[in-house]
Amino acid sequence: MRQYDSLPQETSQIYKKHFIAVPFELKNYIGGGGGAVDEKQFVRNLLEGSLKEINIKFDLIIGSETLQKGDSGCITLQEPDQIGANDRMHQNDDKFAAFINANSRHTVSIKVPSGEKARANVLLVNSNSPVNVQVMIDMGDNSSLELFELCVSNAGSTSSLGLMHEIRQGRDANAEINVLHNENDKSVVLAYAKNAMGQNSHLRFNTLYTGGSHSRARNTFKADSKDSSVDVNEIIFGSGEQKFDISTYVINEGRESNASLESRAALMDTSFCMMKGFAKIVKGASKSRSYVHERGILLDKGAKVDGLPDMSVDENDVKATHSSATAPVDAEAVFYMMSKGITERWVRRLLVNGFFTESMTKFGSSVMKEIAMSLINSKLETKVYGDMPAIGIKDMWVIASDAGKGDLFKGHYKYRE
Amino acid sequence: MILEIKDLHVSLEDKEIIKGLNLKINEGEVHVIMGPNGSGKSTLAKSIMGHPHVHITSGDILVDGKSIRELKTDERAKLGLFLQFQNPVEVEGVGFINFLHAAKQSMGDESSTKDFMKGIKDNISNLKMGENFIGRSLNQGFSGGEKKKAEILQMAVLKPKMSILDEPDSGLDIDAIKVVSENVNKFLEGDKARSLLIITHYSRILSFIKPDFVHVMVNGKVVAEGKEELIEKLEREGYDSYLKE
Repeated sequence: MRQYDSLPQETSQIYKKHFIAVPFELKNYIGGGGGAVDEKQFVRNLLEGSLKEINIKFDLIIGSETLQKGDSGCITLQEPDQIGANDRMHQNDDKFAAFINANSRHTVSIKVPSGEKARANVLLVNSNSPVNVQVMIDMGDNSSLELFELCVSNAGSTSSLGLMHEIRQGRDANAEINVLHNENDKSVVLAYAKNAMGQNSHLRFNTLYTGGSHSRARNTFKADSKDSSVDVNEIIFGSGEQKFDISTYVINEGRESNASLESRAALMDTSFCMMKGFAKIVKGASKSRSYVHERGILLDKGAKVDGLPDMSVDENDVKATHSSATAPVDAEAVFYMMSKGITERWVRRLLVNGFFTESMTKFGSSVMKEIAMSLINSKLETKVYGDMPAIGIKDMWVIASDAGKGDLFKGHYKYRE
Repeated sequence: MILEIKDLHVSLEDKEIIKGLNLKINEGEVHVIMGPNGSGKSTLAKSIMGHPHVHITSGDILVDGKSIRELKTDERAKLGLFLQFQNPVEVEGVGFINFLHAAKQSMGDESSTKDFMKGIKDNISNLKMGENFIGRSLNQGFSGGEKKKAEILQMAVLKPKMSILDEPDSGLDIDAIKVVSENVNKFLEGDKARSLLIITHYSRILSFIKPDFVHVMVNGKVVAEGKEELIEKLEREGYDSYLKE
């Protein structure tokens, strides 16, 4: 395992240049290092504690060592000595990807044959030492995949998590990838993704960032075949001095393709988020649609969002839009809700949940929504992240845009008596 | 609940809006404050509920003999005060039903979700509202009439002891005023101890909701008080005579 300071000069300089300043004491843990946490016990506690309630079986658990290999048919893990497959990532000439690649010890290969449906759950634990994982997804024609990746780390340990995705989809393939980052407050989080799509295929990529001291993502998603669509959903909820540097390209290359990016950041304390959303419609991608929406809400005076939406359109016959808006919490809304008896603390919770409601609709399964909202609400209440809170939504909560269609209250994904 | 306002002086952005106002509302009474635009009626309502931008410079607001000046807005609501907003705030993403459920729970109501839903359905029907609207974001995209009805629905569900209705008739058509009034009267009949303070410019709604006391507010003060005959006088003569004083 390489140490940060032993990296080739070029790589480390590029890394320094583009990353939000990483505190000196964390740098050693990007390339190597770690703590002395009983990782197996930590994972046991997770599986037998809060994760038990949601009844998710993890096909793969990766920590400082491979902790569990499941028997899911579509997912395999390649050890360092099988590293040849990793070169696909390395060849893309992206220095950042090369950095993770150079330090990667695991390649997760997910293959979904044509015509088949697959589901895979992966737990990544960076408690003890850095975890750098490349996830290679190959989907055949007319296949579907629902992938869930949960990233956590024990409080107190110092480490990093690098997570790369390369997704290749055949014709009419449908994929939903949900990545929930809830690493601890001493973690550096690096994320990278790119894809290639077959005709009429669809990709939805949902990412929740609640954890990590410093998080940096560099994603490029292309709707590069006719009628293909990519729908990227980014949810950022920061507190303390967390820093997020999230940069995503959505590119229309295929005719009649759809590419969209929705980024939402709610920030507390003195946390900071850069949301960089770039949309591009290339020449020839006629009748395509594209949008980039960035929204921010500042829950405390010291929080800051830099929204940088951008759009480049080289084709005439298209529909495209981009926007960015960030504002502090509306004092009138707080007064209005408090005047009906709701405490200020609960009002904040309602506002944060409401702010993320639209993003939550992008999760295909109610379990994903429940986990995501539990992470957000737990952090809102306790400002603690890294470990997993109890999963469950205490209050009744309706996804407003889903409700009222047909039956009264249809759309409640949590209707309790 | 007895609400008593004593020599109240209130400033908004360093400008004095209310200049020595006195008012007492006993249990079961219906009061009306009428007055021209800018006379401080809505500021009074906000003062009672503790709006953060409204500053009480002197005087006091008492509930059952105890000052509420230091209480937070939600604590005032928990005492039994309720404000129907003239312009309800739109809150994107927060479902009306989630908001109302949170408010109901905040009031200490532990009834089952099933009973809560039934109560809402009944009130929706009484208010002649479409069922779909409560699944929408709080007040977002509501018509003027829907917003007012949604406030009355909240009142019916939360069951406050003292309701302040700030222009409950503005933006409503004739039929909607009648529906809103019927529901307000029904709410009052549900508990004879419930009291009401209506703030309005116009007398139309007062042909449906009969007030016990009428107050005319001009330039931050109550300048005239009386009963129903005062409404008829205002209807005939307007506020001119009070503005000239």
